[in-house]
Amino acid sequence: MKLHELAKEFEYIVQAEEGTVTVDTELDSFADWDSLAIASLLVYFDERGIGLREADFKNVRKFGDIVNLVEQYIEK
Amino acid sequence: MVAKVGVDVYHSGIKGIEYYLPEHEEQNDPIERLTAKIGINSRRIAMPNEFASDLACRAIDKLFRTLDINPNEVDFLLYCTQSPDYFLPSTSCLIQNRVGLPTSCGALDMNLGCSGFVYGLALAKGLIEAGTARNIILVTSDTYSKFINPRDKSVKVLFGDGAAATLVSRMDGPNSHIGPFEFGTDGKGAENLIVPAGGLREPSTGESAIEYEDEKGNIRSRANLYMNGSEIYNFAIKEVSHCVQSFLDTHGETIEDYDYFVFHQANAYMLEALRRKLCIPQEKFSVQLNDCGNTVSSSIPIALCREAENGQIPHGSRIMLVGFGVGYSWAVCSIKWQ
Repeated sequence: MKLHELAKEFEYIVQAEEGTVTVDTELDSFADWDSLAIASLLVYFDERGIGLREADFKNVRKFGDIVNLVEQYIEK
Repeated sequence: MVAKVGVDVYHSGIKGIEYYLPEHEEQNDPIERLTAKIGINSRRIAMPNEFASDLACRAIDKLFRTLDINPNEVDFLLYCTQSPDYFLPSTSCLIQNRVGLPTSCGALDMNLGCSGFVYGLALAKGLIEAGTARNIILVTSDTYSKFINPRDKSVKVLFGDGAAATLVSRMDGPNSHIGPFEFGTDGKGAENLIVPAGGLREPSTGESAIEYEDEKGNIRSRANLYMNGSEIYNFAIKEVSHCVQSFLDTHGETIEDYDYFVFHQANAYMLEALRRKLCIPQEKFSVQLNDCGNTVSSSIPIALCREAENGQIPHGSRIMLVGFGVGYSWAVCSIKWQ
């Protein structure tokens, strides 16, 4: 999975301007994420064979944390 | 000499659609980020003394006036709702009487949500093409607002009340204008969009009216509508796109064979995700929920009616209709717009 593709999808999910999300972008606390954002991120990963769960995102603070989650899943 | 046996072949088509939205309007918070995401600025909400059957009768009255229909020529009423007036009798019987349909008219209720319009079209087509009926009024109407706890933002901002009436009639010509269809059902998803209490399995009691708060701060009771948004989104993106692709494959078609697409108007974000996944051009894809929200089984006929008024679906257009939601239940069909 390419970082820029994931960033682009995430920009769509959080309705951010294109090119504004980097690994250092700070995110809302997970409790503030809306259900559509969570669901669409899970579906996006699931369609790419990455079986993350909602609970996996609970400690996410930056976009880079999501990238790390994906990398850890792939390494497993 | 062999006698030639004549077999009557009937075809069906949509002759017209009208809809009715309650007058009372509720605004979604324009500053809330979710408002932009779901594409719903306001919704119409039925008053406490206004029920789905009232909205249905208003929609039928509009249809009668617009198409100059003689009620005596209607021989079947199909009523799709999940907000019935009573457990019994069927609300369709009450509506038959209120709008002045003849007593020779058949009438039945269907309990389906967002897939209901497409299912209703299939039933109407069957009745007409079997020679059982000639003019059918298919009415969809719901007042989900009456199930929704005002302090549950997970559903309050999405659903609006409304009704639509569609005249499906026997048509001249060599082909049917309705169909083919593809259906799907998966009751494993029932618990993800449900009003748990109020039926016979779990009657309304003082206990079922006790409110609780979920982890997102939404308040509801078991007598209120509950929706697991993540699971519903997951179902829609996976199952609906799969069903559309299967429908196209079965009939040897592609997206390019259709002039327009009217999907159930769940929310703008979900619609856009489906549109992107199925590679449907934006200009061929209906989004009609900004001022009315998700009107359940009426969302497709309301969108069709509005797109026709906007000139988006001229005479002869081939349109794909896709209904999906509570159940889970889903359906895809093709229609030719007249």
